[in-house]
Amino acid sequence: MENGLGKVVRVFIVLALILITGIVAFVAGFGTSMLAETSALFPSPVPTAAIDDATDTPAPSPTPYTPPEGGPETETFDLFWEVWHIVEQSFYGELPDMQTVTYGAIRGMLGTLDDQYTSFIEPQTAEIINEDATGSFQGIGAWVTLRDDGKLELTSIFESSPAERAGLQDGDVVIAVDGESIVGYGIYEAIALIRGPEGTDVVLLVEREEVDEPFDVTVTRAELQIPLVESEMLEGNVAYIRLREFSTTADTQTLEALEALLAQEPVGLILDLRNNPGGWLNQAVSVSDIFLDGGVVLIERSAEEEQFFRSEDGDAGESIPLVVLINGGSASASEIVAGAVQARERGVLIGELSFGKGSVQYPYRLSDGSELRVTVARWFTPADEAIHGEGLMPDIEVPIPEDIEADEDPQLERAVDFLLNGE
Amino acid sequence: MKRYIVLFVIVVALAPFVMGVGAHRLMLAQREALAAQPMRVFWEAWELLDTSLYGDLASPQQRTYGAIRGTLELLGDPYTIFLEPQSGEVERDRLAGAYGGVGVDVSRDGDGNVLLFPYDDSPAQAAGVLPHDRLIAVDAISVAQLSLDEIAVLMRGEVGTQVTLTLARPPTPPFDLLVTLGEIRIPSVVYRILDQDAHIGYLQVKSFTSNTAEETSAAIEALLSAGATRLVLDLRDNGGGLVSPALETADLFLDGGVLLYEERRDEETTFSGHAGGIAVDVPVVVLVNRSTASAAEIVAGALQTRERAILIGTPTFGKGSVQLIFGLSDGSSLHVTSAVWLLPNRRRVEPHGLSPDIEVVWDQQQQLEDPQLARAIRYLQTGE
Repeated sequence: MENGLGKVVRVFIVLALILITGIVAFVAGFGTSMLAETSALFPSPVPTAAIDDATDTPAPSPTPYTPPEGGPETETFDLFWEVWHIVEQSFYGELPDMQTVTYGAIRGMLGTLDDQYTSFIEPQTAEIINEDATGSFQGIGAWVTLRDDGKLELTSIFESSPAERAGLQDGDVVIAVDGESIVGYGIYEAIALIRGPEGTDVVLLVEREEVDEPFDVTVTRAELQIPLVESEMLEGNVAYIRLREFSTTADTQTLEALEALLAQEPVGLILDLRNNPGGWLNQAVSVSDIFLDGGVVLIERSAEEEQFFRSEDGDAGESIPLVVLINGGSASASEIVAGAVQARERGVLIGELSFGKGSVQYPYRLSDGSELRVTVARWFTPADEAIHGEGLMPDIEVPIPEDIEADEDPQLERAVDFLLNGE
Repeated sequence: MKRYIVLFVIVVALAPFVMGVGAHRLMLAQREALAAQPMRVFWEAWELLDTSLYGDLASPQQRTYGAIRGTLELLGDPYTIFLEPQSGEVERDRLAGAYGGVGVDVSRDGDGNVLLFPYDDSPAQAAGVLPHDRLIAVDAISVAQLSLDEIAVLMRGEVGTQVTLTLARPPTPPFDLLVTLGEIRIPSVVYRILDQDAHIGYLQVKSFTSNTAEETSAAIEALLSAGATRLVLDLRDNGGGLVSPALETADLFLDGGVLLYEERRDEETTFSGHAGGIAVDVPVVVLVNRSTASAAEIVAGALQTRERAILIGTPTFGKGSVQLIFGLSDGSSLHVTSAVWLLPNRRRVEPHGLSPDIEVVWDQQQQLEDPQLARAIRYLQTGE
């Protein structure tokens, strides 16, 4: 019995020894590998000089890195990793995460292109754009624009929207959202903060011209339709349609409004494209088509190919006398419509010189949900004229005087006058 | 039996050891794959530009430079920058046309006289200019209504050319001296007993170079033995330089204690002074201005926060970080901010700089005499 018990104990001890030896060896192996990693096996950059004499310059501790494989021209790009490696080791402050770095690198790369319209859109922003494309969204209900000074201006409050109910006014400037300053933010970053689920509150810090100090406004978000079109019958039986932008339902909303107005037998139509920044190219073509009979709307040219976009006969707005209002805020798709109307002598342009964006971007979706908008082509009017960097000159130029009253609109007045009196 | 056991242990140990190495390597590989993953989007964008962009595409090298700049911008640090390889032409331009001077320090006394103090071994000294000589004109242009900067410009030019200095050395009547401009090694320290008060020594440190501390120490000794009992330390327009001499200079005035903290991402270094020093008991006023930066702010900041001296002048520049410069494989270079400085009171130098205890602005266009120095003299004379 004693012998048997002794044997069991011995076997147990041996097994335990084996186990301990194994664990120790495993840890030793792991540790050795770690030591090898941090020793001179991997070359590490050493500063060649120091400003202000870093009195105790440490030898940067090396960590291995590998350039991503498979990318084209990785050899040239090795320099990027060289730099990032140094920054990781030596930079004093907080390091951004790899996703932020990737986006920063993309933006930096795009900065070398000399093409402001080729742009990178982060997943969050791309999501907003896609939400807008559906024609509705959850937010406060206001059109916004990013001013030159980096501040977000509410250019126009939706009727009976949460924004209106909260007392926000056209021209208010939002400088913070829920306590976070948005000055200097991109327009979509700012919008993403303002938007949110229906029923939740958002606190906006607002600057208003006649108020000395910025003040807080709390708005309860709601589900809202994007009103692309405003229409009404003006004095003298002149029909008026204002199109805000060329998102996916621009053509159907325009046609709907037009048909309602045509039922009242107007003498003419004013299509207001002022401050319309553009949108989808196919929407520009189909909106143009409403007012144009068969023919060319625009010519698109890329490096390899040339494509003619055409309008067809038989639409509701082909015969009504037409004036298109444009100004410096009319860009891209707006200029396609206005350019076609002018070149095809379908109507008269009144207002101010348009923005001058004659390039076409294709939105490529990247693997993480972000979007790269790449300038893929230029477009030309049916008269084969380029407007890029030039803009469209209206047939009748009507400048807006600086000291204008809020309810005055000499461009609109001129358009009514033209349709009523033919000059 | 024993041999068996040894063999057994080796086998039992070796396998887990190899497994351990392998496990660590695998972990590394996974971590790298994970780290490289987000850059996939970058390569997608890169390729899309290659295939789809209308218009000119920048070269792969320029795009890489752009990506680097875009990344460094994220760090939000104006001193962490990427510099493309300098073209040979720029380098040649920089070396051509070395400017020369006469090698004097120029100041104005209370009566508006412009006084010259020639540097040792300078063209001015060789031509016979003596300390305290009054400058009347340069190349027949009267200096009476000119600012000190404008006067300095008149006495500069290409090496080998000449200027005529009209000097007065009362009671000698004004006379001309012809000085041939030479390359000037500007001494980092200039000093003299002030004309306004023979008990006040004036000590100007222009920048911190390797032997500035020794020069300063020697200057203080010379001033003290010439009868000075108080000092004005002028750090105006001192853009910095090396940190060690700056710390040693501050140490001359401080009896031990903390001079500076240097903070890195995950460590901090404390720089302390030595007990004693040649100027620890001498009343000091430090002159600073907007161009007092970096290492000069360390000295001024240490003396101010340790309440060893008051600062007179205007707020300083606010540069308190250390950059390392790395040469990159293609000849470009990278400046990386690796540390920031904290003053002995643990306040950062960057970005706000130091506020003077007594603010005195010097409008050089309007005021010929130095009001900041005048205020310092008054403070040292009256204690307020």
